[in-house]
Amino acid sequence: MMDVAARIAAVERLLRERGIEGAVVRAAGHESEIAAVEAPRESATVLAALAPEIKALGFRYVALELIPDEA
Amino acid sequence: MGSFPAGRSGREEVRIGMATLEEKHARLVEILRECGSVCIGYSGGVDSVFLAKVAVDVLGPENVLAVTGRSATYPTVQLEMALACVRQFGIPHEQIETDEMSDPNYVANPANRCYFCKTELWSKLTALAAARGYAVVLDGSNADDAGDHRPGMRAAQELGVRSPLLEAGLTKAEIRELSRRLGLPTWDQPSAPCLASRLPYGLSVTPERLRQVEAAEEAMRRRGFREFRVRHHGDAARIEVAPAEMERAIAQAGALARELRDVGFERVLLDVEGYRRGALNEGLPLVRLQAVR
Repeated sequence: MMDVAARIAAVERLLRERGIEGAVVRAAGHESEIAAVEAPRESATVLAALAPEIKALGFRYVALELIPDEA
Repeated sequence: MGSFPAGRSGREEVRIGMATLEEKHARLVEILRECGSVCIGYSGGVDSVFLAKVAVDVLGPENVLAVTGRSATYPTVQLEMALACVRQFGIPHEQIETDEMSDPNYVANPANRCYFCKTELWSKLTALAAARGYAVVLDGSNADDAGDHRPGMRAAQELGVRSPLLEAGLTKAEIRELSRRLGLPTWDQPSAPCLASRLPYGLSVTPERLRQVEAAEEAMRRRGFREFRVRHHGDAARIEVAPAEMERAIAQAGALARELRDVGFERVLLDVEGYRRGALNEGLPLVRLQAVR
């Protein structure tokens, strides 16, 4: 399996190719098993459709990173 | 108990698989009569509430004892439902403390974690049943569980625990339908496995992590979410919500992130594929699953 940095780069490349510009991908989880994508909330549906391809690049889960609002 | 309440359409017949729902229910009644007196592992979930209610109806309360095993892995919200049902339906009930957290095999959280937890639970229940003179110990496993990754079922089998719902061939959907007809408040309650099921295998089970999961899920419930899980991935919480609730989760993303950070997570993630049963088993190779059954 590719190392974490290579997997992240591959996912970011895939997202760019599919029209999600500017997305930042980080690994999360104690085994770096989650592809955590920082992207506009509206991207969730597209990300869900791409989840099988993202997982094929070496992640077990695909998730949107949630940014806290002000209380 | 002569018969169970008919469906909305009177003599409605629900046929799922080879046997009708009525035939499966009759088989369940027959199994309970064979048992004579029963001690039931009672979590307050859909299956065990249904089983306890039918057992009381068939055998009488003097021949039934529902027992709830309590520990840090057992959600408080589940206990509240368990107690509400025993009060409403006259189910004899006791609580016992279980101590799976002192077992290093359990705390290490291997793929067969449930085996160690259930060994602790069923050992205590079989001892209690023997001491009180109950003939058989029962669990609420159903026909759907037979094909799933359920190492806890092996512990039950080793200790002679019977699974009448499974033996009768009743699926979860059928138990929900029968529960609805009986007026049980659990009929449409989402499944609620123990809190440790939110931790991926290999991440140790600690009281602090369990508290974080329980607090995070309580925050989700307060926001009106019904079918979801908060999975604990170390510093990150990964939220799974049912597809019908996904849009609302996205709309409340900022508030969810804030509230889940407040319970100790550094990062809050929304799984784009949504809630699915047994999601933490997705990372297990098939060969590993077979080895730990």
